[in-house]
Amino acid sequence: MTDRGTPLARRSIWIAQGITIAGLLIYVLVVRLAAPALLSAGRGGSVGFGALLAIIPAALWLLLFYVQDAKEPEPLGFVLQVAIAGGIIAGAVALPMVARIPTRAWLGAGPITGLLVSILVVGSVQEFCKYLAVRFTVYDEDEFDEIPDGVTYGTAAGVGLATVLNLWLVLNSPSIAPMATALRIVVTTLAHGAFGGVLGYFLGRAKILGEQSNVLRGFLAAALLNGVVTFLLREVSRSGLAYRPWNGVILAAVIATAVTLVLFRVERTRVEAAA
Amino acid sequence: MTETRWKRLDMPIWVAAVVMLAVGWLVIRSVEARTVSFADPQGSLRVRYPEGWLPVPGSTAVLDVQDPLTGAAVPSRLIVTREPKAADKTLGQVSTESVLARAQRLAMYRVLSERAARIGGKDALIVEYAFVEDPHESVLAAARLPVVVRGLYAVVFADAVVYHVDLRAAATVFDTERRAFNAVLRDIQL
Repeated sequence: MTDRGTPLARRSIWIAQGITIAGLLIYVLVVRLAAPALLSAGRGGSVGFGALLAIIPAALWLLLFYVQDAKEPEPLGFVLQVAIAGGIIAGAVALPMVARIPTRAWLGAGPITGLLVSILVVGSVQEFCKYLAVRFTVYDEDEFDEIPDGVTYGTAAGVGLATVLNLWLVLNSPSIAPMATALRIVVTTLAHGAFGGVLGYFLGRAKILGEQSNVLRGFLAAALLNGVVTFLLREVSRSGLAYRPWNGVILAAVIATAVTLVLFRVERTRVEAAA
Repeated sequence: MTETRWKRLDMPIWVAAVVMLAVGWLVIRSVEARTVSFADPQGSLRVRYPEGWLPVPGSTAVLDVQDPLTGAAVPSRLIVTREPKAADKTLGQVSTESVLARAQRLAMYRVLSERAARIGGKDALIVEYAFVEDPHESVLAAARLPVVVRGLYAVVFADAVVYHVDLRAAATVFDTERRAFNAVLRDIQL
């Protein structure tokens, strides 16, 4: 098998992900500063603002991708295509399915059951959507020619899915609290970008190294990570009746950073071993 | 080539997703099926209601529990009350009197249908109704809009007492809750 992966030359992808995390935190600070003015808007303005809040993280990620694209030509159109596919499939499949989970089963049945449902239902459905978004858009394209491309496309699918989840959150909220909403959006975007990166990495290995059967491991790893983190985010974001959104942001940032570093390390080890 | 890739790449993921989802739904169904049993200490009624429903503070009913995790503007609720049975009253008369009393108490109260049924082996009447609840004491201002509530009200004789069993939920979730409500009525023992 010819090793076509050149992860170290694609360091900018990892840097872009790191900058995205920093950018999202700046985005939260901006919302914090602008919150008083935003709160004075009426219901219509509030929904419009909420929708803008939901889209900004995805736009930020894509903008960063475009900036790094200037140095290393990459198919921005493909990335957009995957992100949009991720969003559409999420809206058609993941949202309706997850929304039908009875609340009692979801929250009131104890931690073990909650964790199981998070992994088996939420994690599997959402990661399956990302798999579909990558597999049936760019997977067969010639441009998908390096393992890190899989990370990029998987992350794009995750960001697309997260954007639809965020829009759904905003449009279904009776009122928009700018800071809480912005923090929730950041958490969702960071987390789904990271889960998508894991799945995408294995898709990249399947495409470039022919390790097709390993994609199942990637899917299971991403679903497990998704379910566990979803469960943990719910636990750490609440203290009694109080909502602690910053705890969720910190956890999501740690997870996203850890996933990026682990993928980077694993890929570097693989290339060094191959060399 | 395509067939090989389907078998090695795609099919395992499709199968894994379907299996995970199926197991997940089984877990959810097992949770939904969990119930708590209640026996009236001064009567013969035994009723089972969903686990996780909590007593309503300050209620004087025989049993008054609600689902704190309903996911609607007002919690789903089960209220059981008991009164001595008047020897000369029929089930229909008791039901009509109760409906009239509830119409005085509940805003925009409407009877949607009435049907005869068997509860705990005894003849019963089940009234499906709706009214408008005003959650003016809600902590969140956004949750203070009046809410349409739908419910099933059952009246049944048991020896020397009359039991009134009231199951209600916000109209937005009533159809989802109806299965659980029917299960509560079906499992009542007298």
